[in-house]
Order: sequence, then structure tokens, then C-alpha cells
Amino acid sequence: MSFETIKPLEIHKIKKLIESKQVEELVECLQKLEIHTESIGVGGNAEVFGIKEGPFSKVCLKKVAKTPQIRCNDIDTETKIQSMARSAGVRIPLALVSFESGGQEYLIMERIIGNTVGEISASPSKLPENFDPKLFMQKLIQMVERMHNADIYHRDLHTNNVMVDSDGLPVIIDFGTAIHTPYSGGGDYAYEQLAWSYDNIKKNYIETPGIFKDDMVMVNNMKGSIAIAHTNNILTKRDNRL
Amino acid sequence: MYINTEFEDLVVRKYDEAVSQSLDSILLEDNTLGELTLFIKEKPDSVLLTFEVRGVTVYVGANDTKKASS
Repeated sequence: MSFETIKPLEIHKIKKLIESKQVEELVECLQKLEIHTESIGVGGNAEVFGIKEGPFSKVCLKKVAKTPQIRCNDIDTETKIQSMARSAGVRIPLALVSFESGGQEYLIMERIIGNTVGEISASPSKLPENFDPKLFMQKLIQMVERMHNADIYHRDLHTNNVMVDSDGLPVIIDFGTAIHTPYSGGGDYAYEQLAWSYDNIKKNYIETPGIFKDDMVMVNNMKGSIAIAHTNNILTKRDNRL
Repeated sequence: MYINTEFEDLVVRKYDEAVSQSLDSILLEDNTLGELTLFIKEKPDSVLLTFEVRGVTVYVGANDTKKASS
């Protein structure tokens, strides 16, 4: 079995298999598990699968669409930014590994037991019993501030990218369009970055600047409460294209 | 391909913990990752990742539930 060192500083500590071997192993494992998977979330850019039961039931697999609606980060960049945000103290699923095989990008990560704010808005009975809207929003705002302090901007923080976990606390997901960049103090275009949106007529990606819309997180209709939260002022403090 | 450094650190930490307790396998983080386990000697039925920690080959994965309970 051959190994290569990815990080020279850690030579004494950990070595990884050469990348092609690792990917081979991952694909083999996923093939074994495939019959047990269920779709647990679908977006314009990716679909997430969970394992119904057994030892892998607390991890999930994100499969990036081959023609996503908006293409920004490759899966490795997404995973790195997700991990950085987690290191900044933000509740985010623990990413294990991202990889590409046969033109398909994958990310294996912790599975959060809960529902998105969007799902709960549509079906309030999914809200945990102990849910405290005020605490939830405090935590969410704190998480966004922590990300900003770490120079991380999610830029797609809508109701389907914020989950309510089984303890009623927020978890931020999907870093597909997130960026990590020092704040330069500019205005709307301080973090200008081109993205690529899929053009159905041209059947290809076209460069699309400024596609990121203002952000809002609404926590409405939850158990009939009046908790409607608009975090725009906080979320847009530094980047109004979050 | 990118393996999260936080996850790598977890693997090393758990390896050290297993060795100190003379265990051949140890759960990685049951609160977060459920039954995903680090195996030191035997290769499990399903291997997600293989590493070499301090010169020892270790596997992250799990055994088939039926086999494990039999």
C-alpha cells in the first residue's frame, strides 16, 4: 500500500493514501451504501442523501448537480470555507471529505437531525417542542457575526439554508456560494466575485456578476407564533449581497 | 479532494485514545457521527477512509450491523 504525505508538518502524525486510492475507496463505500440512501434535501445546485439506518445514519452525502443553477465554489473550496466557519465557532455540519469522481462532486459530512426553517414554515408541526424564537434568532445573528469576523460571507442565507436542530438551535448549511475574503470596507461590490449561472438556451454557464440578492431569514408561522425575523440589518452590515 | 483538518485531528486524537486504552476500535464522535468508527487492526466491512497515524494503518468506517451484532 503506498502513501504520500499531504502536509509535511504532520509527517510524524498522519499520512493519507494517495488521492486516487482514497477516491476509489470512497466510491466503493458509497456504492455499498447506495441501496440504503434516501433523499433528504434537494436544491437547485445539489441533492443531499442520508442513510436510512445503520452505522452510517449520522453522516450524509451531498451530491452536486452536474449542471447547477448557480456555480460558484468547487466542492473542495466549499468544504474548506465550511470548515473555516465551523472553526470560527459557528454551528455547521462537520465536513469529513470532499472529492470528485467521474465528473461528479461529493461531500460527506455530519447529518443534522432537524428541518430547515423553510420546511418548518410550511409544516409548523416539525418545530421542536422546546423551540424559543428569541434564542434562535440571537444565536443565528451571533453565528453570522462570527462568520463575518472570520471574513466569511455565506451570501445565500435563506430559509432553506438555515436548519433548526433537535434542540431548537440554528445550524447554517450550504456554503456553495460562500466566500472567504478580508473586508475591504467598500460598498455593494466590496467582494465582487463572478459566479456562473446555467443558461438553458446556451446550454452552458455564463458569467453572472451581482447575482446575490439581499438576504432575509423569516421564521414565520411557527406554531402560530408571530416570530417574524428580519436579520437584514445584521446580515448586510458588511456585505449586502450575502 | 479535500479532507477536513478538523476531521483529521479527530482521527489522531481518537487513535491516541484507543491506544491508551488498548482498544482495537473506537467510536469517532457518537454525538456527531453516530457509529462511525476508527479501526486500528482489522479492516471493517465498509471503509470510508484509510490513514496512517504514527506509522499505523487505521480505517474510518463501520462493520455491517448484522455481522457486528452476531
